[in-house]
Amino acid sequence: MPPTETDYWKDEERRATWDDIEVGVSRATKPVTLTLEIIQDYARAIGDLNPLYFDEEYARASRFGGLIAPPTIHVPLMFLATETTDWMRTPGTVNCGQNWYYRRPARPGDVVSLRAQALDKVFRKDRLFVIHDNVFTDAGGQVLCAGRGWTMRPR
Amino acid sequence: MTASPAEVGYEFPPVTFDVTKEMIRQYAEASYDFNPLHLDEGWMENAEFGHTQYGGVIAHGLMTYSVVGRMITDVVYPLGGWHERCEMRFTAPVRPGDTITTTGRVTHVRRLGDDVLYAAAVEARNQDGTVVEKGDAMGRVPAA
Repeated sequence: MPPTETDYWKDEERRATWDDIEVGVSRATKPVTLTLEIIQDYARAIGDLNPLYFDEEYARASRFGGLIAPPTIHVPLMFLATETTDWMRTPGTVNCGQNWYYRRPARPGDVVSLRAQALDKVFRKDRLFVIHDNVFTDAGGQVLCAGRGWTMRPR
Repeated sequence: MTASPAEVGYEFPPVTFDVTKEMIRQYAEASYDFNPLHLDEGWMENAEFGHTQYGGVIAHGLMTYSVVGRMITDVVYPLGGWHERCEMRFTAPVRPGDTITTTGRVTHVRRLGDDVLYAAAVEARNQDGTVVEKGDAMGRVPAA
């Protein structure tokens, strides 16, 4: 797997709290090279051995013309595209729901960019929520997928 | 049983999987989501979220959401179709030891050019019948 920080407590003091999170302001992101390893590790983890993700000959003969990534590849892409100081890494962040629109398949070798921001924030009773949205594009600027998540924040 | 997502009433073949700590760890490594919510049993025994105590690690919501995606792409890819959208609320925690079954049923269709767009109600339930995730999915398959 690409080198990545696995201790989510590291840098916690540098992450924005619910009070600090600024709606409409972009989160810092960096481009990610989507490797075959990332794709296939993710497909295996969700029990998906679709030949479009694993069998090059099969994929080349398909209408996709080559290997592709599963639609939900945006999950690892989001963490790979953001810094350890990103508030989505705050320990105890609870995912309340997601919606994603899939426009095009991502492919091995794609250099993927993320535009991300908090779209909204609200508290209900004692619970703190942030709604965040993300758009992933390939190197040509074409949208791969776009989605939104609701998270409950511990702080 | 109706044969294709192009028809209202079509039911996607359900997918069932057993949740283990190993599966959760594998998903954490593959998704790069190392939130201790999913990995640190000791911390989760006492940590409080809103007024909820989970009492132990829980699975990533996006893990089950991704299996719903797989349930759909297993059907629509061979038909020349596309899984276009999925929206789900994560309504109950998924824990190690759970057996989760994902289901989907087409509720509406509309024609768009050479394709039929479908809307499907999708759900994931655990072994007790508790709905752990619920929502809808949209996609397309070539018209016959």
